[in-house]
Amino acid sequence: MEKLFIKESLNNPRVTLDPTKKRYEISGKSFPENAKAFYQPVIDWLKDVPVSNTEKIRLSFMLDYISSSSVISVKQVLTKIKAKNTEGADIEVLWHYDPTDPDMKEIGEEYEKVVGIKLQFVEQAS
Amino acid sequence: MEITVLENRYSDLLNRYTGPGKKIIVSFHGEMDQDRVSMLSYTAEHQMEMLGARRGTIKKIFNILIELLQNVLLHSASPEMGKPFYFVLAENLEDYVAICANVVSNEAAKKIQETLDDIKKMNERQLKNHYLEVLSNDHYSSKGGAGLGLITVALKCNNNFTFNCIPLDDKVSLFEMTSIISDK
Repeated sequence: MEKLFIKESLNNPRVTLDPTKKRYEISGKSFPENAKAFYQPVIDWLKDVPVSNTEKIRLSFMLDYISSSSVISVKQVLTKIKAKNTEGADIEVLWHYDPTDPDMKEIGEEYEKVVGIKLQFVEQAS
Repeated sequence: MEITVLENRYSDLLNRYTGPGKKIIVSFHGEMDQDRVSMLSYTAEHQMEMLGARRGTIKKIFNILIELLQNVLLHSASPEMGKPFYFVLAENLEDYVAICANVVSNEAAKKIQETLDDIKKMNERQLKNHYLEVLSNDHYSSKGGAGLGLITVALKCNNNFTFNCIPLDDKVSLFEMTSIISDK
């Protein structure tokens, strides 16, 4: 697996998927013009995650805003993670949320229902 | 013709939201691109913080603005003229009002009207169920959308919105949507 890094901008989050440093994070505000194209490299990176003799990957979503088109694309990322785990990969998703903002936690709970994936909710300091 | 109609309506809005108990927070009339989506949303967020609006209200408005402005970016229909639009965020007594308008094809205008008419009839629970239903299906457009944007706007303003489709000629219409957000 190679490293994937996408720099944060005003409308897209920072993506760090770094197997060497064991750092896996998507953080910031997510409202790129084309969410589908933005998240495609993440889905492609997940395709290369080994499904046997694997190390656990702990992927943190630390989003403080997500637009509706990004909601759909992140759903597709989570659907891919679920499929990889079914094949034998070990990817845990940590869903960070600000306790003063009910929206982000609610979106995580909606993903659990819609995708059928278990998320680890992490309350972060506001 | 399109530009004149947009200019006149924009000018009327600026007058409508000027006066006692009213204040224009951010307004813009021109061409849409992604940088403008970011610039207008972040400016609105900053101005509302300066006005002392509640954090939850600012977040709701930020959400609504992104959805309205990205709809303009993705669904405008005026290739020979770019993507003309206008946008006004104003304080109106105890409410905030977000208005956004752009040119869409008559076919798109009809579809948007039908979608918003359906949304308008729903209560909060039905709206939430509809949101989950749309999120659950896998029929997305090439741009990644599935109609969640308008449902998101309706949820964030508690279904307190109005809209207008004004035919400009036999091909295109001006679509204007107004969301009212209470700071209570």
